[in-house]
Amino acid sequence: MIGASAAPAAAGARLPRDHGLRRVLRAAAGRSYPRIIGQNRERSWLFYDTVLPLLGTIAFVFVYKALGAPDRFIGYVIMGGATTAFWLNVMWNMAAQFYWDKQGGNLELYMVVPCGITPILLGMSLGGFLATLLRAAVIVLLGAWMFDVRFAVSDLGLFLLVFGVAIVALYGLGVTFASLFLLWGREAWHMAELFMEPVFLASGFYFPVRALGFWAAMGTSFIPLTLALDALRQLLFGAAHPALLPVWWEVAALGALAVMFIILARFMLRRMEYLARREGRLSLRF
Amino acid sequence: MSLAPAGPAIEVRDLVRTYRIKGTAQNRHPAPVVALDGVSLDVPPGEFFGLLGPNGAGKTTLIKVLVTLLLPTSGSARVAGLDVVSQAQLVRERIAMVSGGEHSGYGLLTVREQLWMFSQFYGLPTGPALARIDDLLRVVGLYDERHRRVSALSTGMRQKMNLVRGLLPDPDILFLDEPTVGLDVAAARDIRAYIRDWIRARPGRTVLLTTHYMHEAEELCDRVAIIHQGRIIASEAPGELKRRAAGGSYFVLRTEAMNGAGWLADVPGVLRVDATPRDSGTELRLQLTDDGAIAEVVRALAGRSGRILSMQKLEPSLEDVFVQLVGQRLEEADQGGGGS
Amino acid sequence: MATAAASVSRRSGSGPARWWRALRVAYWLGWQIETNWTDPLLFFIYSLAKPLGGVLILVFMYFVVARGGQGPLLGFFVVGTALWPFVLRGMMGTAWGLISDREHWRTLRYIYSAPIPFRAYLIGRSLAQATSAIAPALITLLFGRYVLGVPLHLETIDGWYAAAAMLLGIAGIVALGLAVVSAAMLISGEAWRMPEGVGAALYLVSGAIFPVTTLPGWLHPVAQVFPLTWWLEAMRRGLLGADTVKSFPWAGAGQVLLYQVLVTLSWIVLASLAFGVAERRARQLGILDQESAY
Repeated sequence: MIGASAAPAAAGARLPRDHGLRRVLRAAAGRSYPRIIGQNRERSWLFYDTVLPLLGTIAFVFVYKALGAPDRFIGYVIMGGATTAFWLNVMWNMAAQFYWDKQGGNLELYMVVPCGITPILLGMSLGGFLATLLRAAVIVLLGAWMFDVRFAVSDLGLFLLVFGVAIVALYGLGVTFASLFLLWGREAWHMAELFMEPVFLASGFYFPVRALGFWAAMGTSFIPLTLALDALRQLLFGAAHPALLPVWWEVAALGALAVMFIILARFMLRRMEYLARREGRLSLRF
Repeated sequence: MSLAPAGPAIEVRDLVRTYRIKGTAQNRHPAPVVALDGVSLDVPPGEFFGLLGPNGAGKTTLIKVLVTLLLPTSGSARVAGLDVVSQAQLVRERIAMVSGGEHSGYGLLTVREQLWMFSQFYGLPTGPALARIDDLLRVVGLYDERHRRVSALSTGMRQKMNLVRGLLPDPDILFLDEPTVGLDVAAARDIRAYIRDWIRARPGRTVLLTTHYMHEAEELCDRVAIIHQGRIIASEAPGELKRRAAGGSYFVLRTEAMNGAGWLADVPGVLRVDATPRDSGTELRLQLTDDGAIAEVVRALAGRSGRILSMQKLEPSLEDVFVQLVGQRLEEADQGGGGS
Repeated sequence: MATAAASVSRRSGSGPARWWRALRVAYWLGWQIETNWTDPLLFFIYSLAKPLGGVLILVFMYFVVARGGQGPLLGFFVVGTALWPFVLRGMMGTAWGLISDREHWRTLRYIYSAPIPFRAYLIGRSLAQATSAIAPALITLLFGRYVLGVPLHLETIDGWYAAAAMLLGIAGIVALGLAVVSAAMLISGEAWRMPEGVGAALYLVSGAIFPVTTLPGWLHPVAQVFPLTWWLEAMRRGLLGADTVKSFPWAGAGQVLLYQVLVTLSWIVLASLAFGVAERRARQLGILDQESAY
């Protein structure tokens, strides 16, 4: 039975609240928490998110072996496999996450809290990135070990810079997609599926993107992974890798993409939230 | 957070909300569904306001407009003096929402973690937030389950957790959308008791409750509005509504089995008769013009057939009010309605 | 009420009739679910983009190494990529069907407790999924023929051989699907990822995109255990002729088909047994319709 006499004391005094940036950081930390501890609570995630991309990676390694390709192509494939982990995270755990939240009834609650939806997406990004970084590292280490591949970074600082800027751009794209998926209902699941193989192709996950042709590759460069993979491969394989653009140009372009996607994400989020409230589709199942 | 506003806590004027629906091969251009059809109401601070109606009446739609989830098609709504359309973010600082039948929550988090996460969305410092969470969990009887995963909770426990989530930020206005739906009797009673204590604990706290349980509205609400097909058709204190419905007296008679009771409507003084087979007999629920008319009914029954096994005079209920205003019982209105 | 009830009688029917009815209705349901999420145009694009994206990845990998020209490996890629959607949808789709009935639609308890053979229901759903793979398969083959110049000519295709291999392949896919469903019945939580894991492992060992001979020697016997491996090999022989790159160069076309029959039949028996055991176990544990609430 409810302890009715305890109720007034429990709920009496007003708790102070943070506002502004402090609240944004609190909300982001709160939302990233399930992502981070999920790995420990549900060990199968670690298995699936590591083994599945690794299996796909191994399959493409054997394709190159069947083709008699030089060893550096195996390095391409291993990098592609690690990149797959990030792309899967962006599509399934960012872009489609609101779809799952809508299904589960959490999205309604997120729309009503005072911090707004942006810090929640920020938390999802942060939690997702940390979890995926671990998986990608495991894929690279295991893949390199299994196939005896040596990676030699010519400029570690530049390598980390490319990686960092690319991650910001990538997750900005993920947030943009989250807004779009908000309205696509059940189709969101299929749309996330749709952006798998075509993106693997267009971004050159498993081969130098220059093979698509210069202008075709430039056309697909709005996907941050295209330029990121090309720049990272230049830093790993040097002149042997048929580059699309010089590394610093690609860093600059990734920086511009990062800014663009962050601005776009913010705009899209507001616009989509407005449309969702107008159409009444926040809480519909499909 | 500011003190409760001087004006109404909730103010709605001529609110309309329509939904477009997709055409089909049979009907390419269907008319839009009118969920709210010019709703107006005021709820002063400190009031426990109930919105009563069958499924599909528009209760949930109205709540969703007020908690800023849904934009109105036309009309206006203000919560805590703030416009729900143009000042949505400010509205959210002052409100919380708890829905019934919810399965929300991340299954792999514990109860405490789930609630802590939401406390962060309101900017509550972790230490005080956890202390408040523990206090509230004790009150609702979930303290011992605080380290249990959400996925392992029963429906009643989950709803108690959701209620704690709604109370955690200590909102000025709490919106409860059918909070006891799907709960067993004990859990529903507990939830109602706590909500009642909560609103009394501090002046200025306001609750808007939607329900289709008559007894819940009677038990909790200072004032009840009856909504039907998107319109408010009455809005008064439960006692006033019942007095309005007591344009007459209500009696329940148990008789031997009767083959049809429609003829009773022709007896002088009978305003309405509902006959239900019950336990190999018949239960007659009668609305009469006054107490004296019962004598005519008894005489008519004695002249026709079976014995009267029992007779009881009833105080009119909100169900009776609903029937009088809408012309059908709540269950019948439910069957004719769609989703809210 | 009583009068209305008396006029409705159940169609009981014999075992095969009941099986057929359950299969037919399940097929219809599966098709509705598979195709109702968007308009036909978008559905068509979805059927195009994924398989063509997959084959083009392999094509560019090929061109980067071979620097142009056609070789027999192109045909190998095209046929493997064209046929893989049958595996994705027919096998993994069966398991996802059960999982989605259990977790998303929450209808599993009602379907299971209805007087229908549950296996027939699952097979019907599986076949509906497999049917949705026909369009992408044909498009990929046509793309391979007319854009990539793969030698897929009506004159050289052994139609009867390919048709027999295809029918056996579908049977093998359904059997594998039942086996995966058996596992899915006993797992909650992350069950929805498990079919993907199985599919990825099979993609690696069944010679989908590279010959089995490329794998390390110790994996060759593993590859031969699965009906998919023989199915893909037989389909390549039937569609591309004798000059195709072979996963089993030591086996003639007749031998390949024979092995496919034997392995498929074995898996049908195995999957049926596994399903029976898993179903009984799930009922014992009371987890047949348990939702994971994740």
